[in-house]
Amino acid sequence: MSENILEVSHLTHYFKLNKKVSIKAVDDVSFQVRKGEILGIVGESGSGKSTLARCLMNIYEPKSGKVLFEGIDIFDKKAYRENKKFLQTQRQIIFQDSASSLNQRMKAKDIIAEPLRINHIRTERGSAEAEASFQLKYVGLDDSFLERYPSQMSGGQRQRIAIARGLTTEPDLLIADEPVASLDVSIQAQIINLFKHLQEEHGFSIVFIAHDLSMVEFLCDRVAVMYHGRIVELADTKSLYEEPLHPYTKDLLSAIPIPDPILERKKVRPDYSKTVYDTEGQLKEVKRGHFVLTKEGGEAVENK
Amino acid sequence: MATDNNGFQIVGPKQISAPVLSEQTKHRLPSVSFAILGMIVLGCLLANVTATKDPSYMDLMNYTKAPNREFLFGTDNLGRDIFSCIWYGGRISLSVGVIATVISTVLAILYGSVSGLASDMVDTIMMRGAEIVLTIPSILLVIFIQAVLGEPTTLSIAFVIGITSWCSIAKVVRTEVRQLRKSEYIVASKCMGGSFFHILIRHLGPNFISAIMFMVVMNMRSAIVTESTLSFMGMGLPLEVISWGSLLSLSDKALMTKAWWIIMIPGLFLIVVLFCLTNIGNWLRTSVSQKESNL
Repeated sequence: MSENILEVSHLTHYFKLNKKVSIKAVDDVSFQVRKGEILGIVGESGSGKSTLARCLMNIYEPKSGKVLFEGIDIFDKKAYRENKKFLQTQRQIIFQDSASSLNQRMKAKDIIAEPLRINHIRTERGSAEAEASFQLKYVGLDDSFLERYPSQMSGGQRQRIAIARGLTTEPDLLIADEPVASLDVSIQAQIINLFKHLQEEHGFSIVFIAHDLSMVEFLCDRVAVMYHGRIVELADTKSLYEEPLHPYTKDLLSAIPIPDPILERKKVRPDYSKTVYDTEGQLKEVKRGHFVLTKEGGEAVENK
Repeated sequence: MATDNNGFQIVGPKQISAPVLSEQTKHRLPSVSFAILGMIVLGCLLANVTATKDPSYMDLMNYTKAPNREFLFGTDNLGRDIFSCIWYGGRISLSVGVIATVISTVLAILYGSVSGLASDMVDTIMMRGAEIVLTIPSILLVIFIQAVLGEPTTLSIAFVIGITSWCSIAKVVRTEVRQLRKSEYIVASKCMGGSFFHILIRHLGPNFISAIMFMVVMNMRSAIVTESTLSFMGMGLPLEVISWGSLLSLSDKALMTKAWWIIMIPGLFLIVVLFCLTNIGNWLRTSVSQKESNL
């Protein structure tokens, strides 16, 4: 077993709507990310995937819980301050919408070199511009993009710029918050392949958040399924896709379209909108490395 | 494509020629305003060349002379050559305008962005504070602060005007920052460790500068007006410091002696400069809003 880069334990984050009502966006979530693995997080809209990502990046301060990044407690103010530069350079986030995650008034070279300028990092490639050009090549764009503004690029090219910006500090952990959701299918495939290629070359860990299940199956080593702020199942990709144990995972996987119109039409779809799944209990290791949310003392939860 | 393949006709959407912008929507560069303003600024900067006489020399033989060959714009009732006074006085008036605008803009950007990035409560307190300052008539505030500072000089007048005229720009900056601060590129920049000034200069500034450009130019205009008003009322620069305002302050005596040139000519220069600034400000505003609507 390789070492863990990220250890999340009992992370909980509420959004307060008013004095009485608050929404549990992330509820008692625990998982680990190993060094050099790609962990996929899937789940329906509003299941707390993005909130989780933002908690991992210190954007939100969670209500309770602990996150250790390379052994540093990122919510402990003292530990954070002492390791500020390390945390800021070794964790990077990529957002969903490349149009809003890049400043429209900055050129590509300035966007890519921004983390270097902020942290005053000198790279072996000399100037920030040389570094930007290198990173551009890495994500498959040529030097003609250096002088372009985000509005002069297509969505896929912009997302590549955002990825290049995340890679300039050579991070150990990349958090990708639905990086392909706003792109069309052919570009999605390009970006996913890019992720895979970069991961093989750099060996960093990725927390990959998506709602496209087949994409996650292709890219990720392990997958966590989130539902209403909780992780209901966490397992190796193969194990999860071959024998899903939690009823929500089963229903979610049955929603993957089959690329055959005859079979697809024959498929019986469960009625998701009325189904309420149980979110009580604790994650239990059912098989080796396969965790399922289970009620106290019971077997895997049944559909209500 | 409509090539010469006869027998084929283009059906469906027809080729649409690029929309012709009418004169009104083109927002042409106000070149006349720029030229006039440029000439006046240049004339003031090179006052020792343009001015024909020593502006502070009181020619007691020729006081209150109508414009003539020797005194192009006439002389005032102290015997000073108005033509020379205009150029030297313009230096003071324009530099008061520029310095006051720089001070108020810097203050406004800092105050506005701090307020915009702060938590809701701090933001409310800061904005109510700015509104309280805004409710006090600025001329009263200027007189008050000037009285505390003591004997007015060019710099102190500019400083006082500057620190009393930032509120409205600060409010605009704050509103813009409030909209921008949730943008993902700012969140990402914070994650990378971007400091307040880094985010202000790199991300916020370029995005809100167009929104305040018009107000900045208008601020320069009102700073010049305030200086003239103060000088005219005798509370600004002393009489021996020549500015357009202090030239105008002689006008009450001028009116009694029917010497129209003493009041008309400095007044004309003042109005022309203000008119040019307003024109340029308006052009900035419309061209910026047009750029955004083209996006």
